[in-house]
Amino acid sequence: MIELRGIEKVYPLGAHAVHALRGVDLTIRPGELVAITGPSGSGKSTLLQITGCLDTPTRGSYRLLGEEVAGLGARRLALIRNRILGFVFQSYHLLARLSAARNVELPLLYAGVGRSERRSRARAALEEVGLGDRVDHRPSELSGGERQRVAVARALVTRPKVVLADEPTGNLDSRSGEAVLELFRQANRARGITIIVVTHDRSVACSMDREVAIRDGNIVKDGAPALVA
Amino acid sequence: MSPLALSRLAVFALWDEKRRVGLAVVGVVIGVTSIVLLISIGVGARTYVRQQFSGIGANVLVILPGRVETTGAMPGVTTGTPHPITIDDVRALRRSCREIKEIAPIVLGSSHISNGERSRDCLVLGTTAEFEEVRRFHPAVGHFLPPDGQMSRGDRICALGHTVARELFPSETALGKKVKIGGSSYRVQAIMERKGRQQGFDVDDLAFIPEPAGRRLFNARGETRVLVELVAIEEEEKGAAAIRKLLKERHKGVEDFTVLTAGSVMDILQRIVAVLTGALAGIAGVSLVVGGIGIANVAIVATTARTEEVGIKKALGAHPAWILAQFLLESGLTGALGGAAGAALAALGVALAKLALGDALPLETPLWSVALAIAVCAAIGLLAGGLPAARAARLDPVAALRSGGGKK
Ligand SMILES: Nc1ncnc2c1ncn2[C@@H]1O[C@H](COP(=O)(O)OP(=O)(O)OP(=O)(O)O)[C@@H](O)[C@H]1O
Ligand SMILES: [Mg+2]
Repeated sequence: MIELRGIEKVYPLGAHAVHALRGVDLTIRPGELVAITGPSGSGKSTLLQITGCLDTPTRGSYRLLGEEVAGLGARRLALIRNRILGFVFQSYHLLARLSAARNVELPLLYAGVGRSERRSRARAALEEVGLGDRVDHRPSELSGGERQRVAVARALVTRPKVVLADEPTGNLDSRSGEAVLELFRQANRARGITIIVVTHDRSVACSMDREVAIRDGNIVKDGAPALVA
Repeated sequence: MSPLALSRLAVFALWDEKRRVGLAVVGVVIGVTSIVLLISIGVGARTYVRQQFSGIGANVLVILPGRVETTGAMPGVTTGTPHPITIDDVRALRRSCREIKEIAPIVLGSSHISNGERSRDCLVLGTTAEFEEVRRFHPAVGHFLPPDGQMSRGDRICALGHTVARELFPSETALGKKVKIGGSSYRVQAIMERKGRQQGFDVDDLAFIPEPAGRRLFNARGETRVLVELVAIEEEEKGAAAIRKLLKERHKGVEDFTVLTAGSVMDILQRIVAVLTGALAGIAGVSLVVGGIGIANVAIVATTARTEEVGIKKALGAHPAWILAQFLLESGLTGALGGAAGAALAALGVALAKLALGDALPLETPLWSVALAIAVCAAIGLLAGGLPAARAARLDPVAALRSGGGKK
């Protein structure tokens, strides 16, 4: 489902360019639960962004569901993000002026889903993450853990094939973090959604099925979490 | 995404920024206010002229004693000491000017008029039968005054306007009754048809007496004004020239009178309007530019401050065109809002001016000017918002998301 071959990412930064990724080969099959780990600056976020079609690689091939996406334009990538992918970020990235329900509705709006269906699906998604009684709250009226659960609901509401999360528990205490991870595991188990989580928390990594460790833009280990450690 | 949903998002965003939007809109509001006021004055001036000559006909000239300064002052303001325009002048014009079809002298003044206990002050016109033709103002019942030359200072007959007749004789017809005008008794031999307001005053609130009686009543040496109907409308300038030549000869070579044509009044008004137009257009132009810059500023600030929002929307799969459309819609709406506010302000100004000026200048705010102002402002908003919006639409989602980092 996800096939990365020889992926390089170079940020031209004045005289010396930064090689964030130096030829990454990675295959992820449908329904996998993957952690990407590594020290700060190793290229985890860059890899996730390319996998999430938010960014394009400098070199290499990326096939998503069999389609080569490395050279696609902004519109086509927007469509792929909307229909196939879901995102959860460390800093939530909710729209401050919209209620929880409206935030969750947003990707459906872009998908052209009608108003009433949007409403009911957003409500259902919020109920699924345990926020059925918070639909009309604005992000500022929610705790960090609740905000992140809204973000998870927003990522899942479009019924994506893959959910990508960059340090989703980074701003949360261990209990809220565990609740968010449990939502991921549940979506993975119940609906077969592929989950890719970037983290540098060992216990988070260990709760996944597979760990991909990166160092200086290269994959250094790939396997069951316990063995990687 | 439906246009409706899109505009709801835009309205949400505007509401969030209401203070900044309000400030940006001020310039546009001033601009639009001046534009709409300007149009109101222009349209009003045109209506004023039309009213002045309505019911008289386009091929009618007015001769006034004294020189009217045509450089800025409103018509009717005379300077210098004139020779009076006498009834003999009028007769001479009637005799020798081929361009003239009818000529009606008018002696105008205000006088007391009464029927026993009932009395009022009203405008009294001393004139002749020709007035009826030139002014196209006819009696509803009875016969108007006799023609020039067929009446003497002793004739004690009158015609009453509709309002005067009703006020003095509320329960019976005035026809054939006697009224007192300025101490003398007159027999009512006509009641005029209803016409309403014309030339800035109520023509139903007039009384008509023979021209010689009028001159005696107001102790006048000559006519207050003379109405001339020309044979043909194309003769306006030719007729005016002929009248000027003859009258000047009779006034010992001094042009101490004024011949007003519809065209000359238009000229004067157009000069006044042009001055106003210049001033207001300047204000309008400057403030629309300032307003446009204000909107552009808000748009730039909005797209910069909301970079994270753009990033989020892109991550969620918003088509770049939607981002563009939303920001454009916001600045367009901002402009239109300013336009609407300006138009409302101008309408208020016009309403106040109407209260203050009464009927002196019939100001009008045509609907098209309001629509135009709003459209222009929306266009300014779109232009001003265009560049920042295009930038936002092209934003790289990764960079945009990073900008919002930290807490939220
Ligand atoms: N837009 C950019 N321009 C230049 N260099 C960049 C840019 N984004 C990332 N980099 C560089 O690429 C390298 C990898 O960055 P990346 O964000 O992927 O690291 P990371 O593994 O996610 O680190 P962290 O755990 O701190 O989030 C870093 O050296 C970083 O400085
Ligand atoms: Mg990172």
